Amino acid sequence: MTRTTSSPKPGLSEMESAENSPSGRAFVTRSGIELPAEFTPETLRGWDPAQKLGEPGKYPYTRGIHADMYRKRPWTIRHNAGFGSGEDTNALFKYLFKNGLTGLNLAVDLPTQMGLDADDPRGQFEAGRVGVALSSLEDMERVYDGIPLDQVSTSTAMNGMAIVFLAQYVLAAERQGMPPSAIRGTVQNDILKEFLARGTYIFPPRPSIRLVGDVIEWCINHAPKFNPISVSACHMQQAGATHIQSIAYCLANAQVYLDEVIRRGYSVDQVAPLFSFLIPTTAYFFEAAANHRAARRLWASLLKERYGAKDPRSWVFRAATAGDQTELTAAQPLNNLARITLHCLGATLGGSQSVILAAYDEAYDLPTEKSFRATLMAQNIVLRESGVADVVDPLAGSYYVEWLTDRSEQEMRAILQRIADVGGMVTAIESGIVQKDMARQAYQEERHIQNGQKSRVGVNCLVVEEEEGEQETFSSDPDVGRRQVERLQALRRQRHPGRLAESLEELKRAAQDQGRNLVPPIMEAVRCMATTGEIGTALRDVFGTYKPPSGI
Amino acid sequence: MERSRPIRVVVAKPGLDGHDRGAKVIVQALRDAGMEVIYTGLHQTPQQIARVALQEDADVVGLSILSGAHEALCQAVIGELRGQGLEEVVVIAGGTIHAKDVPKLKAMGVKEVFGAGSKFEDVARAIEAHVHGAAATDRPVADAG
Repeated sequence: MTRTTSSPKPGLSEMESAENSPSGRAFVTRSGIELPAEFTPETLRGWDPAQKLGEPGKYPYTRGIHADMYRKRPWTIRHNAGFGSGEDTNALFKYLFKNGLTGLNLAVDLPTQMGLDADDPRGQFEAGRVGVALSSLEDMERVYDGIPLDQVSTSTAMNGMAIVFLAQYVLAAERQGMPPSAIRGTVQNDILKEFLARGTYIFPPRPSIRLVGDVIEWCINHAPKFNPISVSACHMQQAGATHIQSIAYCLANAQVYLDEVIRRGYSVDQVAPLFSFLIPTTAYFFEAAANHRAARRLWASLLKERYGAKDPRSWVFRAATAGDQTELTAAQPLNNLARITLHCLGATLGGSQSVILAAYDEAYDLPTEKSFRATLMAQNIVLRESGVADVVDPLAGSYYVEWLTDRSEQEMRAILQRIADVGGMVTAIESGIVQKDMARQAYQEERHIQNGQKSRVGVNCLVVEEEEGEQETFSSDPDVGRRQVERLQALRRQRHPGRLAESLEELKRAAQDQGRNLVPPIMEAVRCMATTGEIGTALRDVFGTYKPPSGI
Repeated sequence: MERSRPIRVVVAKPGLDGHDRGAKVIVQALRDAGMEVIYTGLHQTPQQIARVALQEDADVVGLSILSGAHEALCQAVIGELRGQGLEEVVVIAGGTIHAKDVPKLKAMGVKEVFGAGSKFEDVARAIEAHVHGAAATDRPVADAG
């Protein structure tokens, strides 16, 4: 049962009158680009499709990274999932595959992401809560039990501890009988956006970047089918960056990692093809699509012109796209299904390789089975019923979208220049300037929603009051932390203490030597059943922990 | 004893969750509402939060929690505040907190819970009511009002 309030604030009619008044709201995209009411052939005078677009699947890839796009390869339908113990997550994955999921995004709990064990007092309430606890190789094996790691494409938002995740993943595959050269999947391994926005950083920036480089370097040599990095724009957008800024920051971060590996003596064409990206999509779907097209063109040009890459695979901006969760509302959660459908359109009109959408009830808690399924079906409806997948780059040649794509590329280039002018992204992070900008913009955006300047259905217009208790939510197991701690303690009793201690000492020695790649010593420690927390502690002993500049 | 200084609020992120858009937004909103606001930054333990509340002579501690661990974290922070003798400090919480958990949080002493989409003026007004309300009970009747 729902009822409409008698005086929604501000009311729909007030919103409309504000818009119609001479001093009414400016028409701007989500990134703040002002829009005329109409675009005409004049808009694209002098615009050369051969130079700006090229052919699909060819430089500069504005129209997409494949010649036939979704006709041959539909985008991968992904979902973020993972909670509780390895078995809980394993069962969930198997359920989701049965319901149309084609790729896995593994959510990992906060203690694991921070390099802490489930019984560490710093994370004592958070084990198994927002993702699965991966305290050891055994936990990794439980997650992927019966899921072949050479066939299933799995992606994980591990960053500070990405290197430990890689070691556990490779060894779990080895126990399934697969060599590293056969494994597929993606690890996010993008630490700079943790400093900028997501907050799950451990060590200071410079040793953190070394670990990112170690993962990429090891995969170049041993796991060529594995994506050792997925550079993300989404978290900056969630923290308050505009859609365009978030992609520009992401491209700046990507260049830091490229430079780190190239510095070690690899050619750009050995490194760049391993890069993939994660960018946001919003309900403002024309802009989401235009910005994605612009990012593809800009990345291709940077790699070809600035880095001198010769291999076309280096020019390709392969990207997954995730729906902007800040647009989803706690009010009237079912409205979010419409929003995530628009997210999906923005992503796929932009030519995304893989789409991850939130469930409609995530403002409350982890999704329920029902809300999970609704999201998967929304993607399948866009894929199978909307026709978006039937032709390549459906928006190409649109006066509006091509104009927006050009504007977006210019803005991104200007932002990259500003970051270079302050001394690069690491310096910018250490000074806190980007973080402050994002916080200020987030506040401004919230104010605009609260004063009705920016419409949000169900929040500042068309407000409907729902009776309490209507929303079914995920019920988490309150015992999950305790069970994980018991398992961990049992594991600790089974190990060979001498071998374990020696593997951790060797890891510390390697960490002190700038010239050594830390994947092999971490793998050895994982083989000796070192826990994620023990490896985190060994690295903290050498690298220290990061103290951020004051936030605001 | 008339209150002459602005309300002092410590906004804190307990636990390991790094999503602090909401915390930073509320810091700015409460500053614009005339309060003095201290933001602790990320990854704070309950002990650290109570220490900051003591050092800053806080009237209010606002906890931003999106990790789902709000029950345990609020309980721990309230325990630490009591341990420091800060029973009078008004504790409020915000973040991803379902309505069904609100009574449990209130029972342990959290005065208000603000979820996603809460209005700045509602948060500020509630804080003022709790702080001034608490002060009023301590004051002689003649000084009240």
